[in-house]
Amino acid sequence: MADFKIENLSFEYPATGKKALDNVNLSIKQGEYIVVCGKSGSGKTTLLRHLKSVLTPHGNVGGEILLDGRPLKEVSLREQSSKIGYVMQNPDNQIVTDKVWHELAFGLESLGCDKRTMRLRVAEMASYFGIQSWFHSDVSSLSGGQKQLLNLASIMAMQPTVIILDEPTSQLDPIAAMDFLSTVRKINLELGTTIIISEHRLEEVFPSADRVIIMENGRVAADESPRTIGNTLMKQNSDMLASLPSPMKIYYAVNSAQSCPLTVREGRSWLSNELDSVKQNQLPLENEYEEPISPAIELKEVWFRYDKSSPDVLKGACLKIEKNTLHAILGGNGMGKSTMLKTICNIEKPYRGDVFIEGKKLSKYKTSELFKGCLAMLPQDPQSLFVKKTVEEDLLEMLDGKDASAIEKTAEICEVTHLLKSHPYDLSGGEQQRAALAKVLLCEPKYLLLDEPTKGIDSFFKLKLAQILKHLCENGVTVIMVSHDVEFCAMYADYISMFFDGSIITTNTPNRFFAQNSFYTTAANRMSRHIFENAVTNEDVIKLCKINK
Amino acid sequence: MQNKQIKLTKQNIAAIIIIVFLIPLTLYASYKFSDRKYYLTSVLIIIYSMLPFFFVFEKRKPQARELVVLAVLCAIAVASRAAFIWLPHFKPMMAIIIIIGASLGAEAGFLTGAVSSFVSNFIFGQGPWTPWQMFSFGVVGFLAGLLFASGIISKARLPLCIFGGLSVLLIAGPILDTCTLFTMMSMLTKENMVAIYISGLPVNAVHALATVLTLLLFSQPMFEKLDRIKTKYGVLEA
Amino acid sequence: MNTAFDGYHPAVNIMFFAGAIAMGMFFTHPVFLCVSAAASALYYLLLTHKSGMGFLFGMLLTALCVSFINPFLNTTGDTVLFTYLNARPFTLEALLYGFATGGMFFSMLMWFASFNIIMTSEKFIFIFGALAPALSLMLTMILRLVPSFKRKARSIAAARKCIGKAPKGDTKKDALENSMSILSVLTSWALENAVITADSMKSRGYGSAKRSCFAQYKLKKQDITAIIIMLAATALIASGGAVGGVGYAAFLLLPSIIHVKEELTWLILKSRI
Repeated sequence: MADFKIENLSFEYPATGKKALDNVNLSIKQGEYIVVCGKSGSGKTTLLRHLKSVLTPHGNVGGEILLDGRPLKEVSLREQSSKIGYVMQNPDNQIVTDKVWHELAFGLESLGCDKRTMRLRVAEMASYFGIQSWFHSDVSSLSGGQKQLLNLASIMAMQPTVIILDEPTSQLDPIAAMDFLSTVRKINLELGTTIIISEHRLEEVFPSADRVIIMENGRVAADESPRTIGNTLMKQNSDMLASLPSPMKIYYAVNSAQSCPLTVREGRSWLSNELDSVKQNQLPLENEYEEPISPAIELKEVWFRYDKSSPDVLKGACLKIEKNTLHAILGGNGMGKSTMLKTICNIEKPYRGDVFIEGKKLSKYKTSELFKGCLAMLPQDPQSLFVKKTVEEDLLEMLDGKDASAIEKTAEICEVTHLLKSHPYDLSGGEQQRAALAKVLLCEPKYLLLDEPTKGIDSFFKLKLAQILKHLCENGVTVIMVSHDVEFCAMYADYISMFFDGSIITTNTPNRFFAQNSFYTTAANRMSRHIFENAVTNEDVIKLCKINK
Repeated sequence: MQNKQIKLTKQNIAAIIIIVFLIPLTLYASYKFSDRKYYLTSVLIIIYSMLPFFFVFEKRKPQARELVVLAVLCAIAVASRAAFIWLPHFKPMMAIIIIIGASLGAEAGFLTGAVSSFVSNFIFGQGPWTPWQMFSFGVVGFLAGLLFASGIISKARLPLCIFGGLSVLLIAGPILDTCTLFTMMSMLTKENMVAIYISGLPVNAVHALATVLTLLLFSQPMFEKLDRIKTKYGVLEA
Repeated sequence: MNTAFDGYHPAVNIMFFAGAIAMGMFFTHPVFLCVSAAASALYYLLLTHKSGMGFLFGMLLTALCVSFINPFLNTTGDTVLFTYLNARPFTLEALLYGFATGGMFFSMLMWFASFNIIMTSEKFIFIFGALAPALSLMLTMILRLVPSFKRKARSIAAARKCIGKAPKGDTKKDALENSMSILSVLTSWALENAVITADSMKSRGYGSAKRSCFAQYKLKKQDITAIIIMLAATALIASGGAVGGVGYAAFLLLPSIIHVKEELTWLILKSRI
């Protein structure tokens, strides 16, 4: 058994004076599935880390945590290690050893488990998680999703009664994330293991959750079932409403008498019941997409492969990008979207076809003129750009002794002015992203390329990022981004291209693009497509609902 | 802290006893049973002299953070060559070992030196040179720890570079040349010693240059990074 | 692979190679040297087939060089073959010593070449796991990190190029500074993220008990047989004389015999189908 009881828990990091946790009271029963949400910095991670003594940060603690009635501090390291599993964000850094089998056995080895038990448990876990086929592989050959499953499996091998997951899917692509979360769900249902999870992808976890806990400034703002939590948030007029799943957001904006839908399926029937007659079933269409006549960037039949003997990654990709727009490229994982960005940056060179920038062949540009005031790319991992010990020094590195006033301006655009004196690694994920963006912007690019810019950041940081990008487009910058994030692209992109099997399949405006898709589209569209013809964003659906009521 | 030091000296005594008995015994056996078993004898002695370091490390039961940081540093030392792929023969590993020793102390310097060269031989192939390489990198890391981490010499660029250059030319290089001498020469004569050490000079000079350059450009930022890790996570405080 | 001698217990593997290499350096009798050189070359060729021929001949050539250089640097010996440079003698004895050293050099490198094929890092870690748990764990961690750091170094270089931070000019100095920056970014990234790995270790009970070892390998009947054969052969060697030579050959040919036997078994099994 593992019942957690948290009584008046408060916590203060040393030398900040701000309470990271403020009088938290919670009780969690065996077998429950609990979702913890909140903005970044609301104390989610701090709370979760208090549930396992070895991970608890140093600082002033008040209150008490009881595990099965015993103070957690008195539960031995050994018992905690096997009873309480903890999965962290980054799939890579949690892995310790170089082989899959060794990683699975790591926890049991640490506990000094005997060989027979160890063999059995490892075999069990490998079978349960379906990792027999890569049991002997090197860890470095796995994908991000496989790595995170391995982390979960290696914890499950210790037979925990509770698993704590701290944003486990933030670094995964949507399909791997779904896979992971359904495994978590399976563990909860089949083994009765308690799940305490903090997640951004609420659409996927809300249907499984027994309770949702909303954290705000270190306090528990709400603790309710997912179906009723929206009411409380409405009453509190909370920011967290913005990060609820689409069906819920639409439901609360429309003011319905029915009960709250959680999934797209429930949303569809809710919408059908809600609207008796439909007067208007579509929004005014955006203009038909037309290829720009003089594109800012153009890919003409670009073919690329990494090795002479390896398969083609780009197979005659064609793309035209219009000036001063935000152009998003959507597509599956590992298909070559990032490679396409790299060919635009001249990092990878196509063996056939050409890239043109402002009508001039890429190969005619000198490296120095290309990246000074012309092109720049924000890499997937912003940490790849931090060299110095403060953000400010890192930004200064970009200037080569030019006028330092540019820093102030850029820092303001990216909202990192208050972070200039901090160490880049002391920032949160979203802040690191913006600091890295500031660094990239100091190249004064006319063409800004972004590789998965919304990966791992929460909806509030996404909003900020969208505002920054909008500001850039208005000021003469053309933005090309590669992404998995359907919702973000639907909201903010001017044009969207679909990338598949080495080339661009189609390009259109968001509205037309998503209206023609049935699977690869936003939740709002999936929920409303049986009634509305081209409602893509939540706002579209809400608007049409209001018109028709 | 004090407790730890007492423990360390206890183990050191055990180590010394091993050395005092085993090394003379080996030397005697080698003298008694065979003519010119230079290589075998010397490798055994090298292994004995490395064992106490590993022994102490094991007995100390290193904490997770210490173990991870040491592993990361070794991996950086091994992988560092990848950043200089365009420059043939540029080997920054020794410089990184020196920086680690100077920042984290003699024990860490020895361990990372010995372990890094062992691991890099998994990539380039183990051979009769493995123990010698482990020993030479370990010893330089150890000396860097003794001289710089204890504050006998300041960790400024100039002394570090001088130390780096000299330790490759006078310690690590000759140790590796001795390995060549013992494996390739049937008898130790003045001529073949001179021949081997002189033929080793160009390689050692290039290695020394790489070490000095890396120390010149990389030592100070690396110290900052290590200091930050030491204070932020409280690991490996010498 | 996972056939023949490779499939034996790592302890057997390492016993054999330690024995072969140590004895190869200890015995300088010409017959012993020839046996060692032949056995090592045979086993290496069995492992690599044709692809190892290049390396084998390269080493043979190097060994010959070693043999012939020695007498130029060592003038002891009575039988002068010829003189050069102001009557410096080139003696037969020194040449023979040279051959001995060359042969030893050759067989040592050949044994190590096979050793590198058979003794994977995994086996090393297994052997060390019981003797030195902390070091063995450190070793597996490093082996995981090195490829990931190399990949990261490349992606950092690309990322820096895309913000105009490629080497400015064509000079070596710019390129060197750029490489140092890449190393610097890599170090920060690696060290800062190391703490997460440490947390993950602690969270899975590292340090809460004496570590045990997930045995990938079990001591099987064939392993025990091999150990007995090796011990018996060593006993023969110790008794000296011609018997010792036979023992030495038996010891060194063990993996080759196992290899050939395995191949034959498969050949027979196949022919029956």
